[in-house]
Amino acid sequence: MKNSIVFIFLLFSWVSLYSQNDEYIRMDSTIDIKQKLSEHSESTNSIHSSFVQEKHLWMLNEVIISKGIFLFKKENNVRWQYDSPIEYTIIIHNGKFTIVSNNKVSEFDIDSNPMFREINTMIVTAIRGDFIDNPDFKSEFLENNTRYLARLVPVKEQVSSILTSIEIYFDKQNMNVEKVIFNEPGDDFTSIIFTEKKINEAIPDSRFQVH
Amino acid sequence: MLKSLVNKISILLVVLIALSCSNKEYRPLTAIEKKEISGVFSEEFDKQLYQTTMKVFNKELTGVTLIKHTQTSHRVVFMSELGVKYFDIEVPFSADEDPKVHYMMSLLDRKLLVNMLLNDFDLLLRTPSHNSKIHSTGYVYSLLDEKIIYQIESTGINSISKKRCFFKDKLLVDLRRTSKVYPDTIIIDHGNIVSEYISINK
Repeated sequence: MKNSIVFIFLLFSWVSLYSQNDEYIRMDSTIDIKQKLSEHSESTNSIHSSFVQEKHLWMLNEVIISKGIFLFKKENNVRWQYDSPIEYTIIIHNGKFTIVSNNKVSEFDIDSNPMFREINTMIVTAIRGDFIDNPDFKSEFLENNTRYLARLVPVKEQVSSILTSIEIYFDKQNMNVEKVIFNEPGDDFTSIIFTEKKINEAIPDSRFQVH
Repeated sequence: MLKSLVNKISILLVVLIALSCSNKEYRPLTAIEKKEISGVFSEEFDKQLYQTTMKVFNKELTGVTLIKHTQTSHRVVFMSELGVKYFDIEVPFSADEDPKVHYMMSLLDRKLLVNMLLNDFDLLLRTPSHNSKIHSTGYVYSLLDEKIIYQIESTGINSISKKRCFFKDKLLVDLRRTSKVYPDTIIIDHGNIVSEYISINK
């Protein structure tokens, strides 16, 4: 009996300690994290990463999983490639927005289409962590023992009607983006977890062209 | 002379109308056939993902559509590859309840388009009524439910058309299937608005 009580006490203590460690607390001063993000953004010339995207449909109790590869190269080159469940690639290169879907290539001028401009800004902003003082978002910063969390609320109505907030989770050790969550009106959300990250490895320009 | 000719033409027209609008080849369903009626998605259907292309005038939307059987309805959610939701529509099993929109992206929230989508999914997801009539030609059956014709082959419904008096029946939904449970391909062509759904096999 005594052992059981001790065990339950220890279990509760552990759960309590664990939840305290995991809980995010709003940061009083953001000068330090802004500095770190700015330095990290400055020193990140390229990112090569795998990703797993989970679309959570709350009402339907469904999670739709997509997988692929994300490439970024300064200044504004992005390859966002889905390999499953369908093949689909978005490439941003030289101010052009190219989509490859069903073996069909469609090219758009980023600035000619406000929707693409917003998507471009959101993707690059979220992944690079380059959103400091961006007037398109209201931002707040939180932290726990291992991560920083930047919560961005879109200011433009065009974006806020689609996304209520974007949450970006950074590893405190190296400031790499670990996870991004796009929250939608209602309770649906999309999370993207980045794995096998390679920072500042050489990525040829050809990866940002359609072959 | 002219009056007589007009009369003859009138009679001929009436006969033509009567013949072209006739459903004489159709007969009522037997009790067993009523039990066997299945919709485009069979009773065993649970859920399926479809790669989707929707052309709306000169714009093209692509992504993934989830069609799911819930306790009381079918739910259709179309979202972009990046996970951004375009629409979420529910079609209740009960014929007394209308289909409803749970979410529609503001970009698509136009009365004409929304009504078209609601009608399309209502047509696609409802089961033909027990009052339907049947006509068989060999291995192919046709079910006539008021003005809607369901063409049925061994794997299930492979097209939905609207019966017309003077013209060829109008194809509303074109289906390709290898399974009785759900179609592999769904094409709904309204001319300016065309949707194509291709099943994703994991």
